[in-house]
Amino acid sequence: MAFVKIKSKGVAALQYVSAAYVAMAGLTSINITGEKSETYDSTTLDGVAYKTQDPSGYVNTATIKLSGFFDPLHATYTNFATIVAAPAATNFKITYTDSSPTSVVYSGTGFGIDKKVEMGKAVMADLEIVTSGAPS
Amino acid sequence: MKCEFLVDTDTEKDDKTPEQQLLIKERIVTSAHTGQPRKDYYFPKGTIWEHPEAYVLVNYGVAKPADAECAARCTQHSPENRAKLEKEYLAATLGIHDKKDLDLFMRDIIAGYDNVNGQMAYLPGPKWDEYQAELAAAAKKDEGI
Repeated sequence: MAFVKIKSKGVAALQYVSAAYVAMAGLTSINITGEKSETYDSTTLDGVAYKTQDPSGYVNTATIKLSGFFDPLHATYTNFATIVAAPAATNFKITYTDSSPTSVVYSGTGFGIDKKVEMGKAVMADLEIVTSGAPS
Repeated sequence: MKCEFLVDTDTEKDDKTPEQQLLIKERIVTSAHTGQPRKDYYFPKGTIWEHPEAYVLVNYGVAKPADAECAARCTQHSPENRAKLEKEYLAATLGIHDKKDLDLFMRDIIAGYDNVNGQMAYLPGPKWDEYQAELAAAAKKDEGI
């Protein structure tokens, strides 16, 4: 299959609200980091100089970080603030702009929000979503 | 309370009763995680959805009230602001976050993004030709022609 480079323009993040996925507005970046297989130090006293790392069988889950223009009255932020204050497992979907279409769903269980006010710039927000389990 | 979806809206199937599942349709997408096909579900545009917090969907602009209870509970907007909210929601679903592109979309100059031969391009909107003519006229004026 030919390699396809996916443009970032048009990628959307959606939150599961009232039993429907709704697109989150005003985003400038989406970072999905930390999905990594876990290893442990399996070095032994009688081993060679190079330490060894073996898989533990577990996978660290991804953390989704969304950045965007902050509007405290917009449903994107009022609904996210609701789950920060009263966390409940909530699905988030990322849709990409290739022709398939391609998307991935994460189960979010921990949520955080930071806001930043800087001279000469719009007020920005950083949202963090700790995910649980395998994405689909 | 009830709302009516203004656009095709993704959803899940497993959290719905058999009666609710009759409202949703299925399509095949590719999982970005596994690269394999998977089933995706959505409410078609125009679906009437009954949910205790349907007003939240109306506040996003993805739906409009379908009964008096929902209409009373959702954030009250003027018709102009309501139309703007709904159009901004449509922009969000299309992944239009760039301020300049959002302005073009709100003015009906672009209808979204298109993937043309691997290159991201604007999808022309109803006023695309008019906009192009304005740009050409402005360019000619700058050149002093």
